[in-house]
Amino acid sequence: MFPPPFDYHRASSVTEALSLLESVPEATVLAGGHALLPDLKAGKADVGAVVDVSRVSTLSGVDIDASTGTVTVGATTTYKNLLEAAKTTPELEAMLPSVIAATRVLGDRQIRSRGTVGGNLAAGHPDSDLPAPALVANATVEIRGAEGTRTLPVETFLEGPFETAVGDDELVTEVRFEAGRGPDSSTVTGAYQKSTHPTSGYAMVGVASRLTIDDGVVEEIRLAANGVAETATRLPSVEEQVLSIDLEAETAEAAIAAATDLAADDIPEGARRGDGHAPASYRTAVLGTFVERAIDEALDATEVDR
Amino acid sequence: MSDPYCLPWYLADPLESAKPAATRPFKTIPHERCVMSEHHISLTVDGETESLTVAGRTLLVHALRDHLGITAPKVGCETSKCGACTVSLEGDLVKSCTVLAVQADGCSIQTAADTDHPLLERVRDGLHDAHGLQCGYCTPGMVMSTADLLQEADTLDEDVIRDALKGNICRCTGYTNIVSAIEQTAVALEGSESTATPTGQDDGGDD
Repeated sequence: MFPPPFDYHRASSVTEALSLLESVPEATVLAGGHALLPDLKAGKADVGAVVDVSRVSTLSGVDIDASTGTVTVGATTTYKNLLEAAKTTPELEAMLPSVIAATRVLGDRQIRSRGTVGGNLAAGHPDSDLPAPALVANATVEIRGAEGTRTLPVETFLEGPFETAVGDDELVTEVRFEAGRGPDSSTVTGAYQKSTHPTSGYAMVGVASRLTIDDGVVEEIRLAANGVAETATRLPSVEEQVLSIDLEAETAEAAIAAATDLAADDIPEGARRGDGHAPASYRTAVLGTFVERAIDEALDATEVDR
Repeated sequence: MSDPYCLPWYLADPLESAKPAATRPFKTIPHERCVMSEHHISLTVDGETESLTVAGRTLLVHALRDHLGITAPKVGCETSKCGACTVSLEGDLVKSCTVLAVQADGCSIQTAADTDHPLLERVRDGLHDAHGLQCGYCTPGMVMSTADLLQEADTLDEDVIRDALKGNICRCTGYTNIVSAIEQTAVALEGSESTATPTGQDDGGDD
C-alpha cells in the first residue's frame, strides 16, 4: 500500500506555508500525518501535493498563562510535547485535566510522538479524542489565511464529520484552551473517560467533564462526548440536571445517576454515529455510563466528602 | 424487549450494525496536473549517514528497507496500526510507515539492529532469555518500544508495560512472555547501573 504520487513541499514559516497552499495545485497541509497518511495509503484520500508544516518552529509550543487561566498550544505541538509540558509544569494538568487525560489515552505511544493537537482538530474526526475536551475547555482555534487571522470557538470550527471551518488555503496556527475558574474557595476538576475502538484506537465513546465545586455544590459543569454523534457534542440536558447538586447530600449519587440517564437525549436521532463494531444504538446506550464515570472520576480527584 | 441492556449490543440490530459510519469525503485529484517530486535526502541510520533519492510519497520504512537495505523495521499491516516498523526518529518513537522519508531528511534514526547501543542490547537479550517472541516479526518494533519505555518511565508495572505496547501487535505470543521479558529486563537494569530508571516499587508481588 503505497500512497498515490504527490508533490512534497516543506514550509519553513507560516507565510511560506500559506503561499505554497495558494500556489501549488491540490495541495494539503501535512503536519504529524497521522490522519492523512493512513488514509492516503488505504486509498481513502488523494492529494496532489502536501505542504509539510511540521518543521515550522513558531507553530509548536505550549504557553501556560496561569494568571488569565489560558493555555495556548501551537498547532504542530505533538501529543508527546503536550504530555512532556504537563510533566514539567504540573499546573497544566490542574488547569486542563480532561485535555491532558485524553491526550494520555490517545492512540498509542508511537502515534503520540507524531500526531499534533492542531492536526487532530483540523482533521475533524468525530471519534477523535481531543474535540470533547476542547469543547469542555472552551477552546478557540486560530486560523491564518491570505486575508488575515480569524479565531473561532471550537463549536463553530467543527462543522461536521471530517469537516472543519479551515479553508483549503488556510492553516490552523494555534489552539487556546481555557482553564475553569471560580471563586477562590472553589475547586475545578475534570476527567476523560473512553471506550477504545478495538481496531482503530479511536473513541467509540469518549466523555470529557469539567466541574467547578464550591462548598460541596456543583457551581458549573461542562460535559462533552466524542464518537456518539457526527461531531463532538455538548450534553446540555445532563449539565442542567447536575448543576447545583449538593454533592455532600445523601441523594447526590442518585441525582447524578438520574441526570446521566438523560445523556442520550442530547444526541439528535439523525446525527447518531456508529459502525460495525459499535452501532449507534450501543454507543448511545452506554453514553450515560461513561458520563457518570467522567463525573465520578473528576469528583474522586477532589476532597469532596461523598 | 425495549431495554437495550437486555440484549448483547451486537445483536441489538444487525441491519443497523451493517451501516458504515461517515468517513472522510473523497476528492478525486487530476494527477496529470501534479508533479511527483524527487528529493535528495540524507538519513543517519544507526550512526551511519547515507544519502539517497526518494519520491515525495516514499515512506520512511521503504526508504530504510528498499533503498538502504536496513531490514530491521518490518512492513506489517501498512495501515499504521501494528508497529512492526517502529523506529526511533530523533528520539521519538514513530511508526516508519507513517512518516514520509523526505520528512526525516537530515534526521538520525535508530532501528532495532543498532549494535552500538547498550540498552537495545539488553532489551534484545531480555526478549531472547524470557522467550518473548515466537515468529519474531513484531520483535524489532517491540525492542524499540521497550527501549523507549525503559528510558522514559518513572514507574514500571504490568499495566504500564501493556499500555506502552498498545502500538505493537503480536499475533503469536499472547504478550505474556513479552511483558515478563520487559519486567525482567527492567529489574536487571535496576540492579546494574544504567540510563533507565525503572523503580520496580511493587514489592508486594511479581504480578
